[in-house]
Amino acid sequence: MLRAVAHSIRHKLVAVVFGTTLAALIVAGAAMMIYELRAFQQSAVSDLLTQADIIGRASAPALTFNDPKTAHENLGLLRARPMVSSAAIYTSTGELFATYAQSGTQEVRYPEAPGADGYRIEGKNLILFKRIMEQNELQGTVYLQARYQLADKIVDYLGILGTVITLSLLVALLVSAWLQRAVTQPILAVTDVAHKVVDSRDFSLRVEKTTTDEVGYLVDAFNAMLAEIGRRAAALEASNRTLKYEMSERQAAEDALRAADRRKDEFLATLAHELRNPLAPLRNALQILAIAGDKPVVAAQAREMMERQLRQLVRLVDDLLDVSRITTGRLVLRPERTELGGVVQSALDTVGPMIESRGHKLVLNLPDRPIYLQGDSTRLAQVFSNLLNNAVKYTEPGGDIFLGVSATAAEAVIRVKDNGIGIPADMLSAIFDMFMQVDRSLERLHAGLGVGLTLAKRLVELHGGTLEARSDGLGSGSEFIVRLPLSRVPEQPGAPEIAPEVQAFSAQRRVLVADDNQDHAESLAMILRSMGNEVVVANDGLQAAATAASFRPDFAFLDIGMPGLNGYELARRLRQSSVTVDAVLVAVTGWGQEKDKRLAHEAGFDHHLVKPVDFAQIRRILVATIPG
Amino acid sequence: MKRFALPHLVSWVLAAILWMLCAPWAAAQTDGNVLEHRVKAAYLYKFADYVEWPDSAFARPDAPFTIAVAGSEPVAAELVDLVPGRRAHGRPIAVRRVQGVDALAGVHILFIGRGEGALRAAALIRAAQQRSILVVTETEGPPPPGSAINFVIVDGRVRFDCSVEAGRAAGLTLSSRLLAVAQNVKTP
Repeated sequence: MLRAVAHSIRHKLVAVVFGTTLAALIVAGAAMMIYELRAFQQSAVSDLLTQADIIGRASAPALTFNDPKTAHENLGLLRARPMVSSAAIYTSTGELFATYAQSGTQEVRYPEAPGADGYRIEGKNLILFKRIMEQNELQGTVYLQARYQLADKIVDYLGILGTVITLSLLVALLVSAWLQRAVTQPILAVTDVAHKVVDSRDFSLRVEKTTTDEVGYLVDAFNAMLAEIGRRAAALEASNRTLKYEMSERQAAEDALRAADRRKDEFLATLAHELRNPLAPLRNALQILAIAGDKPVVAAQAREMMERQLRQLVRLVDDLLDVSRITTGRLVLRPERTELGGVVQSALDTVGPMIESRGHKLVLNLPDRPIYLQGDSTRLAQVFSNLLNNAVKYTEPGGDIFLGVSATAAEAVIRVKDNGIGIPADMLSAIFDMFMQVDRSLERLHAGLGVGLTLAKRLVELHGGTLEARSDGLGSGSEFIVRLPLSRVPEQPGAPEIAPEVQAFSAQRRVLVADDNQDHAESLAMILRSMGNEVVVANDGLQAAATAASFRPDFAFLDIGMPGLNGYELARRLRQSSVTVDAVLVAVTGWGQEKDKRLAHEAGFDHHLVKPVDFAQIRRILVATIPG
Repeated sequence: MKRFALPHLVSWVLAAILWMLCAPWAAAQTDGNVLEHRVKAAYLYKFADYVEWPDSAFARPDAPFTIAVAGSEPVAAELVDLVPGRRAHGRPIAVRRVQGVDALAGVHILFIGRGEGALRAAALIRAAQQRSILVVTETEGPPPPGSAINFVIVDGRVRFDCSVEAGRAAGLTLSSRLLAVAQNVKTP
């Protein structure tokens, strides 16, 4: 289409040049022809008139003296004028006096009488009458008839005009060719580039500027436009890319959110299931105690069962709390110089009963000398117990479990290996995701929240180490490898590993326990009484405040969420009261986050315990604080 | 058409017959050819246009152009009839009949007819040649010396011979146009 336009411009240019030339030539030619024909006629008439005049003057004496012979001779001079076909002289009375005819002319007719002065054109003849005057007297009249070759003249002229037009059109062709180079060529260059741009979408193309006229300006404008379009197209493309990238990011984020949401739902279902599981044995044990409490063997079995189920529950809740800490990023380590063997032993203590109960064979490969590293021994023990727990759970009873500890110059390597169900290759990295379990069916064999491996990996990473899972596929067993950086602090022989924990209870302490949960309050009171303390229980904040004023406790274990007066308020009152200002205040709450600890500290608490309270923790507090 | 094809002579003759019928007195003329006289009279008057006279020929600015006739009363009579209202060399034309040489003062053209005696004619010619007078004669055969123009009849028509020499002798110039229609021209 652009070609066609360019061609049409070229054709138009040629048409204009040709048309202009042709029109000018035809008009000029016609004007020239009219002028020339007029001039031709005038000159012919004037020539003939002159001839007539000469003949008239020459023949005047002949007429005067009646000498037709001389007149005839005079007319004979016209032989030199081939144009004149015939001539005659009439006397003043109108009689024919002398005649002349061009040789070869046949049947010459002369007018019977002379006409009036003047000329007329009859067909191809110019006829002229001229009166001869001498001394104001009419002597006679000259008659001339000449061939008036107007048609021949016109043909001649048309021939010349045709030749001139042909030559001029040739010149016009040359001019238009030149014009095309000068005018069309730059335009063609523009259209050519426009064509390419449309075809290839390449906005970096430019038209070469060859002239400084309007076309040159057009070229400049076109180039500027191309640059602008190119810039805009590039900007649009970049913005599109960004948008596409953002879209994919959002899509991925949305997918991740959806997956996380789904996992959370599954987790909640699992959680409910797991929390409920220990409750049935607990209730059964209670009923057994109620029925056969007096039979020591049965009671002991029931208590043992209760303790096991309780541990399971506590562990579940601990895991939950850890999950909360991990998701909120509040998992904090208390790093200290730690001996790896002790940590492994601690983990084995936890998992040992389970290994035994499932009939697994445990193979240990421990180093012969201690390995020290900087870490939180409790958390590291949790890591190993989680890994061992995992191995125990996902190995059919009677399986082999291997635990190996070794050290290189820079790191300690702990391997936990089993010959259990293994992990599909595509799940190797996913098993560390939160709430992820390879078997998702509710009827699955193995209990658990699916957070153990996540916790383990996170804890190892917090220690600056790595946790890696290996498996040759389903049924091929699995291997978990923990690598932990070794402590750069050299061994400090002789340093006390653990502070002496247990001391004798030198004195009986007065302890106030406040909790609106009567069971919790009573159970705590029983533990404290068993330690030889004097314990008073209050079931709400106001009652606790009143009791404290008279009881003057050395220690106060206060619940935070209580009707009437909450734990924080109660703590403030106790701190304001002169009798309890120095008392050791311990917050006992289900809320274990840093925020809760800070609030408790601000309210005046000395310690913060998270339910369920460990017996050892209580003892540590009682021992560490020597009441004044 | 046929009429134009007629020979010129026939038409002249017809015209002459017509004229004679219309003028019964002319038939009494002894010379017989009134037409000839009339033509000669007209020629005499027209010769004035083809001849140059010296300025001295005209005594006064208002002097008439005078044509003298000797020895031909018919021609003189024709002239008298012809000249009124006509002019030659811008002057009125006067006709004078002369008998002797004394009457030639102020004359420009002198016609000597056949009726004049040869001796008197020669005397007149001699006198005329000294006065810038164009001498016209009508002799058959060789014209007398000093005659600038001599009428002759050729094929029944009045023609004339010219003598440039005689004209020049009288101080006159004969127009070449006149010479062109002359029957014979005598040049020096």
